[in-house]
Amino acid sequence: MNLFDLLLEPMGYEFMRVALATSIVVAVTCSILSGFVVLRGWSLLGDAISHSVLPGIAIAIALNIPYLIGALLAGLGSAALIGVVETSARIRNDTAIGVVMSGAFAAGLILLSWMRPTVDVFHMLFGNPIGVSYGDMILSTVIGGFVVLVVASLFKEIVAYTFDPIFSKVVGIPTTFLHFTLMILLSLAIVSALNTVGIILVITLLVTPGATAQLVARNITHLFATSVAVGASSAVIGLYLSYYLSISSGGAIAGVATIFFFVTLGLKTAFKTRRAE
Amino acid sequence: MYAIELDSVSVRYDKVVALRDVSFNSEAGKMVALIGPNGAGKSSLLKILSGLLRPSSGRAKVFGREPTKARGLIAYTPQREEVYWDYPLTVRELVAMGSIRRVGPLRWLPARDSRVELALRLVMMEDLASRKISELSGGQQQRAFLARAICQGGEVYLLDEPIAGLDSPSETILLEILKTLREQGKTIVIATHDISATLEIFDYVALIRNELLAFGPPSEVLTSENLEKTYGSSAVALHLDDIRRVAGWR
Repeated sequence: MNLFDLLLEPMGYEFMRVALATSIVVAVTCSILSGFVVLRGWSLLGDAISHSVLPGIAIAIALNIPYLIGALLAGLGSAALIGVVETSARIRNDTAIGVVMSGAFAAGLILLSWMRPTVDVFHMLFGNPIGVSYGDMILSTVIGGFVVLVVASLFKEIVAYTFDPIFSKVVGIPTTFLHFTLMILLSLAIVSALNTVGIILVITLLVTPGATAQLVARNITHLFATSVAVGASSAVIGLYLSYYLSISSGGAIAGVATIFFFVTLGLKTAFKTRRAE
Repeated sequence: MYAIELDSVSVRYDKVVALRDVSFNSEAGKMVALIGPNGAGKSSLLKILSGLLRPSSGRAKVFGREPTKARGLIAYTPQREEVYWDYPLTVRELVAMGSIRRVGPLRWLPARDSRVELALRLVMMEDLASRKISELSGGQQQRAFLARAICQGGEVYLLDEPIAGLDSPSETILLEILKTLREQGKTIVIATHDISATLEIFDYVALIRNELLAFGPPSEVLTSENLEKTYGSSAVALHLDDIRRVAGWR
């Protein structure tokens, strides 16, 4: 079997075509935001939002409404709650994130174990792109399109805000609006990734492509292009690996992204050492 | 009309008074140094003039307007430590940020902008335009910040600690650029610890320690007595004797 056959064989199955398309869309969506998450120092916040969607899913199931709506509201609610806890308790941001994230995740687990829902909680936690439906694919594509549109429309303002919030405020950029817009986009990206990499591993796609890109980027455009390339490649390679090695698809995608990071870091370090010599 | 006006401005954070009853004015085309120890309220004063902070009482005006209504006239640079210098921006991209207000929403910044090139030329950074900001020295970072402020096209420059941590040649270059801006009629207000830098080129000095202790030309304001009141130590005042000798004052 040659390389061409290896690439084509999985595409003979419809579920693999849907899984691949959805994984690429989700990876690109997360990778675009990944640049800002890394540059603004929001990695832990992204992790908190992703863990906090669990109680939202549980409540949505109990109320018999689409669980994606519950997940979105819970994600936004946790981002707001972190801000409130940080300000009112006068504690550090990472402490507020730790308290809210672990509390929300615990609440989600308790609710789900108590309700014993029919949806597969394991897949929500760790993802299962093979089981993605057409409906999920369309939803992820709509969310991805929305994220791209908003980021492209507000690109210069978001860059200015994430680099220098004080300057942004002085020139009249609506920084509070931008902050909450980014929180909404993050929550939407996490919701779109529920079925592919899951709640636990989505942080890999929200952090690692941007972190890898930051190692090599010469300017801001280069950073986003590299981040998207790393994210999309991780999705493709990870999904093929999961097909041929019969391993967890979400885990494989996240694993490939992590390997990209360490290989880039190793090459950069080796290149630097060689130049110094 | 004054370029900047402060009328009985006070700032409180909860129960802590950061500034009490500060009043002074400056005409356009002057350089004003706000001098005082850490926590004296210098940055708060700059934030009030830039519209970032509302005074608890009193009024601040920039060319007769509330600072928030004079945004197009104000160029502000924060302290260097307040931004993430590993952000993957080139010097040109950083400077072009100054055009954000002019370009307006839903449009990208142009790849080439004559204002950006002019600002780069003024701060002598044309050769470094494509360099990553993370690869700049402290003095170059401060000049890049100043170029962004120039690109904003403001009339009043508010600079928070622009010469802190700079070596002597970088400080000289920066102060020369500020002098050029003054010659173009711009009003410059800086917060600084560095008394010696203010002696020769600044028109006014405001000594601040949570209140205005003295305001006027440096030769009148920078006295041993005033500096002791400002810093609470005679060491600074003794240092002043050397500075005054160098400046040729009596």
